[in-house]
Amino acid sequence: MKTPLKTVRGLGEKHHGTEHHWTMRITALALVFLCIGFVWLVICMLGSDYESAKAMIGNPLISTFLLLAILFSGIHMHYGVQTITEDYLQSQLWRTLAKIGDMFFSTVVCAACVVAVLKVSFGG
Amino acid sequence: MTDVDLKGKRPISPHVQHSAYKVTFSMATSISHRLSGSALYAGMFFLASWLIALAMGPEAFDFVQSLWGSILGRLVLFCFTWAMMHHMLGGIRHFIWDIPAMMEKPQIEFLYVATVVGGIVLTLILWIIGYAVM
Repeated sequence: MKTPLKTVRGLGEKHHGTEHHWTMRITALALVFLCIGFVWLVICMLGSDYESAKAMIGNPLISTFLLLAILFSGIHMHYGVQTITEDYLQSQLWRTLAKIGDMFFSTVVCAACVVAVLKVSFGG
Repeated sequence: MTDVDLKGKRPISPHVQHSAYKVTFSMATSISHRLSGSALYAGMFFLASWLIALAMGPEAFDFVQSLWGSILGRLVLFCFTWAMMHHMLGGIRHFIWDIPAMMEKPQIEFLYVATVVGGIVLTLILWIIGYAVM
């Protein structure tokens, strides 16, 4: 029996079907709320000194929120740039180089953010 | 179709390489969604710099705070805020179209205008609140 499901499951250039699109939508939905929370957090922290900033980021609720924001931003930015490179870079070489650069940048930036939040939370 | 080289230079959307179309408001807004997304991509570096400085200690934190507190730093953060609001509203616009809803031409135009105006208004409101709080 054949259903339209076969057209979305396991097809496409990288055999990932609609996973890319679906992940973009899910992370985007999460990021709407996370962005509003992030802006609120930044406004609350404006002009705060080192100790109060540390206390705020060290709050378990806020650090959980920040880690989620970093995680979803990381996935969303990585997938988004993937779309841009595939749309605008024709040369296979440049496309591959851009994808490698994106992997490194996304991973390093997000790892740095995560480590920083964890250190502020647990590092004392 | 015989002269189409499918293995080498595969055909791509005409607007990408040869601006074949007249630039319209909706087209510019659509591209600005990608541009603001790219700006936010680079902007993650700013968030990382601030968090790392906080994790490193008071000296590093004060240094980064003074950088972002300068006129140039505030200008960058203002643009970053705008990119974030514009990109967020653009994403919400895509959600509305995903439903699917508001797909008629005047509604599409309205959503594009709402994205641009809403992004600017939200950015200004946030900065007014920011300066009021500080």
